[in-house]
Amino acid sequence: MNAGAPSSRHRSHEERLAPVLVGDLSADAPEVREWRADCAECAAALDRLLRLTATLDRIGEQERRDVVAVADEVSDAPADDRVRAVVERLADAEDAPPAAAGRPTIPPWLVLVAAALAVFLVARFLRSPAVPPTDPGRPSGVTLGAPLAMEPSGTVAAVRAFTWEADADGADRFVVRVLDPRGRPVIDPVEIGAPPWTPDDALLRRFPAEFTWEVSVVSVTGEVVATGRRDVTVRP
Amino acid sequence: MLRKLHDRPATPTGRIPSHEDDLALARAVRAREPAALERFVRRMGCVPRMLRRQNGRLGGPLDGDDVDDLTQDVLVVIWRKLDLFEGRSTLETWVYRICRLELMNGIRRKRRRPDLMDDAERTPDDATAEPEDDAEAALRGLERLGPPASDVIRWKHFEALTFDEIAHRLGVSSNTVKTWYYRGICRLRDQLERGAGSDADAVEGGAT
Repeated sequence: MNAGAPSSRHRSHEERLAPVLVGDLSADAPEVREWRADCAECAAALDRLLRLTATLDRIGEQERRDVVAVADEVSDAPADDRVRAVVERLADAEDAPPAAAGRPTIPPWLVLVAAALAVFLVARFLRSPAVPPTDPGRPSGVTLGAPLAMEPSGTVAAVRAFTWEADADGADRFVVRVLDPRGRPVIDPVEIGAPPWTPDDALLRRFPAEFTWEVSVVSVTGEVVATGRRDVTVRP
Repeated sequence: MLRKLHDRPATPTGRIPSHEDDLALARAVRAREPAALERFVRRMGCVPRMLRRQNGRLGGPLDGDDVDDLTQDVLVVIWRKLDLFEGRSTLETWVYRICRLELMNGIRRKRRRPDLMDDAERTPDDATAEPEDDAEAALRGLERLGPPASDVIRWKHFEALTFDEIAHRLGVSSNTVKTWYYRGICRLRDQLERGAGSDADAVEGGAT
C-alpha cells in the first residue's frame, strides 16, 4: 500500500509493518529482524514510520510536561490583569447590541451645526502648514487599540469581505495592504473609511492562495497609530 | 481555583480524565456566567506562560513585546473557538496546541517581515528561514489528517492512552482503532515526505 510494491515473498508491506506499528510485535523481534534483512524496502519503510512515531512521542512528552508545569504555576498565581482585560473586552464586544440598534435620532439642527463645523475645520486644515505625511506602512506609536476580530484569518474556504474592529475614537481611516508570502505587496494600498473592505472579483483574483493582510489605523493627523495583521490560506 | 491536572479525579478506567468539568466551564463562559468567566480568566493565565515557555525553547525568536501581542491574538483565537472545544482534552492542553500553532505563525510572520526585526535578531538566513522542524511539520500534518485518525494518534502519543482505552472512549473495537492508527500514521508520513507539512494551512487550534 503506502510503502511501495512488495517483493514476491510477502503479499504486502502492510502485513509486516502494521503489527510492529501498533505494538503487536516488537521491532526487535527475531522475525522482524529477519524480514528487515530480507526486504530493504520494508526495512526503510519501517525506519521512517518509527522515526515519525518517535517524533510524536517527543511532542507528546513535551506537551504533557509543559501543560502540567504551567497549570501548577497558574493555580497559585493571581489572575493576570492583561488576560482579564482582553477577555472582558471580547465578552463586552460580543454582548454589545448592534451599533444601529436603538441609536437615538439626531435632530436636523445638530446635523447642520456638525456639517458647518466640519467645513470650517477642513478649510482651516487646508490653509494650515502641511502636516508632514507619515508613511502609513510604519507604525510610529500605538495610542489606539490594534484592530481586533480581523477576518479572514487562518485557513478559509474563500475570501470575500475583510472585516475588523478598532477603537472608534481617533481613528479617521484605515489602510489595507495585501502581501504575498515573501512580504511583497500584491495590490496597491487601499484606503477606506470604515470596515468592511470588499474587494471586487478582479482584485481578488490577484490574491495568492496564501497571503498576509494588514490594516493600519490612521488618525486624523495622518499618523499610523496601530496595525494588525493576519495570515490567510485559501483552501484549494 | 484551578485544580492541578495531576490532582484531577480519574474515571473508572483509572487513566482517562473525562474533561467534563472543562467542557462545562467552556459552555458556562459562553453563557456569560460571571463565576465561570472569573475561573476562565484565571485559567487563561496559562496563555502568556505557555507562549514564553515555547518561545524560549525555540531560542526566543520573539521578544517580550511580540509575545505580549501574540498573547492577545491567542486569546482572541481561543475566544472565537471556545464553541469548538469538545472536552476531548483538558482546556490547558487545547490552549497549549493553539499557542504552539500561533507561535509558529507569529515567528513565520516576523521572519517574512525583516523590517519588524531588530538588527540583533536578524541572521543571514532569516529572509528564507522557516521555523518549522519535524515536530511542527508533524503537528500541521496531524491537523490536516482529520478525525478519527488524528484523534487516535494524538491520544496514543500525546496522552499516552492504550488502544484499548481509545477504543473504549470511541466505542469501537481495538482492531478498528489500530487500523485507523496505522493508516493515519502512513498518511502522515506520506504528507511529510511530500513536504506538505511545511504549508501553513493547518486549522488553527482545531485540535481538541
